[in-house]
Amino acid sequence: MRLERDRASVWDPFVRMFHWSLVLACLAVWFSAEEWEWLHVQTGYFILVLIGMRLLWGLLGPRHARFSDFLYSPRRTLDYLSDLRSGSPQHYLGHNPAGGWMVILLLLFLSGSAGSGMLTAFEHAEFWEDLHEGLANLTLLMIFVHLGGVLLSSVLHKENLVAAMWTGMKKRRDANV
Amino acid sequence: MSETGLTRLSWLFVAVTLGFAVALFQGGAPAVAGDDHDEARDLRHVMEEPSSCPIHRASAVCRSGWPCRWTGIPFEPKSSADRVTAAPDERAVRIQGEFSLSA
Repeated sequence: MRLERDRASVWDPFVRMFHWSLVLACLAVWFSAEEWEWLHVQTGYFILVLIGMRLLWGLLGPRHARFSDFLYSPRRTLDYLSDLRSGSPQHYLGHNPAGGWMVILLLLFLSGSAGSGMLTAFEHAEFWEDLHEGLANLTLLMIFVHLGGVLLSSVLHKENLVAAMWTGMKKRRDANV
Repeated sequence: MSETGLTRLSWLFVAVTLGFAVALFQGGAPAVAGDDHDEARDLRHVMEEPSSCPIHRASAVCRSGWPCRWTGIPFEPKSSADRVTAAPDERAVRIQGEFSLSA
């Protein structure tokens, strides 16, 4: 982790590229769902590639990219949410406990959506289509919750988390976790 | 692994992912039956050209461009000047006529 005065390099190039590629891919699959089938299908495959690479990176990558860094116990996650309600949550240099679980949920729901989309080409297409649509809608809901969480954390910690995911740099605090 | 090593590995992951993206999206969307691009239209006209093979000429089915399976005479399209001359218009007139008659 490289430190520059009061800032620390937290998100490595692959994590940032993964995040913004996933944003673009989600927009592409959502808007191509009705008309541009080829784009929809290829982007679905690309999302699976991204998730596969991220899973690998979660085991091999630097500290803050690893799952072990942001998977906290339910007790600690509930404590964090409780602190969040009181308006004074602890500052985490990597993902906070709620953010960490959101990453896992998004990865699961995106894999489910893309996987069920692939299976619509096989038997029981109607079942897979219904599942695909349901999971896609739930994923969209998760994305909005994620955006809300990012906004809330940015306000409470007075830190632009969107810019941090772009540059990879975050503010260093005395009470970092 | 050192920080430099991890950064290099991170860039390698970026490159591999971009490689997958290029492989998945290169060439754009394939043509489908519903499309009516210029290329498809030209191809359709070539397929519709009369062949020098009498069986090709006689049969509306055998227009694949391969040598005729019965005579062995290859598909020989006429010059491009002769392509798509009266045929589409004739068809249009015929269809129009049939439509008028049936109406």
